[in-house]
Amino acid sequence: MLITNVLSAQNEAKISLHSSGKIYLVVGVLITIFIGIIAFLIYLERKLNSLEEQIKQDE
Amino acid sequence: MKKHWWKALSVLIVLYTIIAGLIIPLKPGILKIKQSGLNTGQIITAEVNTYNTRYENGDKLDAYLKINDKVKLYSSSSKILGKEKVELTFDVPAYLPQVKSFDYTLILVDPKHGPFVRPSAITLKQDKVDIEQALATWPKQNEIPLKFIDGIKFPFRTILYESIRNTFYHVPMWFAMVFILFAAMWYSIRYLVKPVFRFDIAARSLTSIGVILGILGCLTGSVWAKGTWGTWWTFQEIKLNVSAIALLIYFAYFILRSAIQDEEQKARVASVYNIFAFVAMVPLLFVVPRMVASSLHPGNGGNPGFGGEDLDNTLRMVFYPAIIGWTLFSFWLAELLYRYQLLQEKMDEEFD
Repeated sequence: MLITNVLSAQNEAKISLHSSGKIYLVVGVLITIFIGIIAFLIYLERKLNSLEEQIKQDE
Repeated sequence: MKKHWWKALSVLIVLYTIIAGLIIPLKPGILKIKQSGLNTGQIITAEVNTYNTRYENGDKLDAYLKINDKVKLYSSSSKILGKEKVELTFDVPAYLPQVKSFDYTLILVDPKHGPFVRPSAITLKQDKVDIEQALATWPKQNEIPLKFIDGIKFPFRTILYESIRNTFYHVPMWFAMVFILFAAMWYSIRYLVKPVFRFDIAARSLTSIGVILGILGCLTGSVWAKGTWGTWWTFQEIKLNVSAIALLIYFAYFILRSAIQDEEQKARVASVYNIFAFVAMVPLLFVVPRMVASSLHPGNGGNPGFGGEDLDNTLRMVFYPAIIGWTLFSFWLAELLYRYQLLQEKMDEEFD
């Protein structure tokens, strides 16, 4: 039975993303990715809209 | 545009879950304990590494071990060694009202952080069990009232630690998947009632998004598992097995579609299969895991329900919006796919 409870991936010397404030960096990266994906989706929306308009006009 | 409000809302909610889910800190907790000895009837010191604490010299720190529901053992003294390190001294009586060897829960409490706990923290071993003697000679304890500190912080859980944040991303995807696949079944039923092709296209696009969500759910779960359970996958965990089976059933939907040439027949058979797939998925994902003896997932295999101990009010603040946000977002993706496939069908018709 374990006497010491070991935190597997961290040792005392490492500073967590949180305490060093670097978590904001991670948040920034993820938001950038997400905004990029949203921009692509909006582009798709516009493309589809114009195609749908075209089809409607041809009918 | 007015009719796209729910798409903008989904983006806002998902942004909120990303920001809040990552920035809100964890409550203080106990990381590591090194105890000087195991046996009763002696003074034992424990060097405790904590997390998210701001101890300063002079802080009044109390600690106790929960021996059983009625009996506590308070530390005789405590020393602050650092912002996240303390040393506790326990005067352990010769007899403990418990079994021979047991891992006792440790509770730390101080005015700055409030109480926080770690189960199975300190092991104590006694050679002889004499519960009556233990209770009769138990030293008088000065009870310290537990004053909880208010604040929005996520719970500190052993094994999970910071990865508890995955609750906002991994789980909502599965919820979104169920809603999406329900909609797919809905359109499949509508197609069978009235064979209009766009119902079949809707069912197909929704099923595609549902399957993608399921795959992402498995992938994110796999990453989470590697970090917490130590393995990317295990066939011993019921939820993984039934999820894989449910996903395979939906993969077969697409294989079935490609096997039939005639458009109307394809749509009809696929619709029937889609309904079966959803009806099969519900008990697989939600009933079977609760019936087995043991599971690593909350709410399954005898573990307390996901609403009980695992989800506290601070988690709920981000978790419930996350479900709504990801579901709406998934419907946006499905709608785009549907419109694209519809256009493709129309263009194919024109050139036939």
